[in-house]
Amino acid sequence: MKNLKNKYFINGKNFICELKEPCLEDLIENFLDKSILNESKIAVAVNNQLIERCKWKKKKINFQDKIEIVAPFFGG
Amino acid sequence: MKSDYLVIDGKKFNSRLIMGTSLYPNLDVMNKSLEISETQIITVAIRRINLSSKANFLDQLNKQYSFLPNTAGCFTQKEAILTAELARETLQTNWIKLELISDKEMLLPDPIELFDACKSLVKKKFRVFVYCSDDPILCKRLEDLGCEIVMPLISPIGSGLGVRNEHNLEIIRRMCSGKIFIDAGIGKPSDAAKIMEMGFDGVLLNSSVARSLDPISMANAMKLAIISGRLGYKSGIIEKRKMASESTSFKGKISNF
Repeated sequence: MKNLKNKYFINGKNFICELKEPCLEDLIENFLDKSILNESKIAVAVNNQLIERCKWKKKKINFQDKIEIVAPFFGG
Repeated sequence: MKSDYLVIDGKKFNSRLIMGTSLYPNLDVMNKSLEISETQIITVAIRRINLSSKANFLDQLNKQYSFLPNTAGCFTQKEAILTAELARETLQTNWIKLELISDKEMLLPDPIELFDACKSLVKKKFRVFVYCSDDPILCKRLEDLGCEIVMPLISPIGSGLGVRNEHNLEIIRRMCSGKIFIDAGIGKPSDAAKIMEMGFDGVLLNSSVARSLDPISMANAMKLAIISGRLGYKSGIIEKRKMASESTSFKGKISNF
């Protein structure tokens, strides 16, 4: 079995984790605390394209992909 | 006076004040300022999730509001459209306050990028609240595109300079029959009252309240100014004259001596 420990690029920083067949949902579950994932209103883009929550499981992730995870924040 | 609701996207609102949620000294002051302002719509930004904080911004609000997410900080159409789509996904709203700026120093809207971004967002079924410059033709073109609310500035964001080009505002109000809010540049309550007296539909503000010495009191002042200006406008302000016009009749006055 090859080494599956790999780097991902999330919110402008490298994130390292081991995933067998990386899909967006698994990656986000590894990146975020469960409470944040369940309670927060978050949205995700991969390579500057919105991926709706219902499609996270099917969305395969490549190691070069740029992932953005966002939430509402104070703003004027 | 008959009820004077503001209708946005089919929903009725009593308040004509949209409040920002940034720059407050702390959460308690923000919540109290929002409450006393009686705003029903607040703006929020869309930002990378903060992993160090477990507190969710929305959970820290004391009241329920309609959310108006913004695209603050976007310089290109692509950035703004993606931010709008992320906002829709996270907040489940089609509303978007489109901000597309051209530079970091003046934060002035880029009218060319803005126009094309509006076109795309309207096509994607967003209700666009567009922050734009006080150019009457641009405002009219944005209205004709199908924007929900056109929101010209009166001076740069956070400047507090108030109305810099009253004549342009008069033309905008005359040319655009749809809803026009003033966004950016409000410094004091009289700025808000003046705008409302001119017949604009509402005001969006943040810095003038959040950065004041007493934001809660200022939020109250802004609310009252907007109500006052609106009432004045609806009551029919008298025309200006170059000459005096007596308020007390000369009839019955004792004879001149």
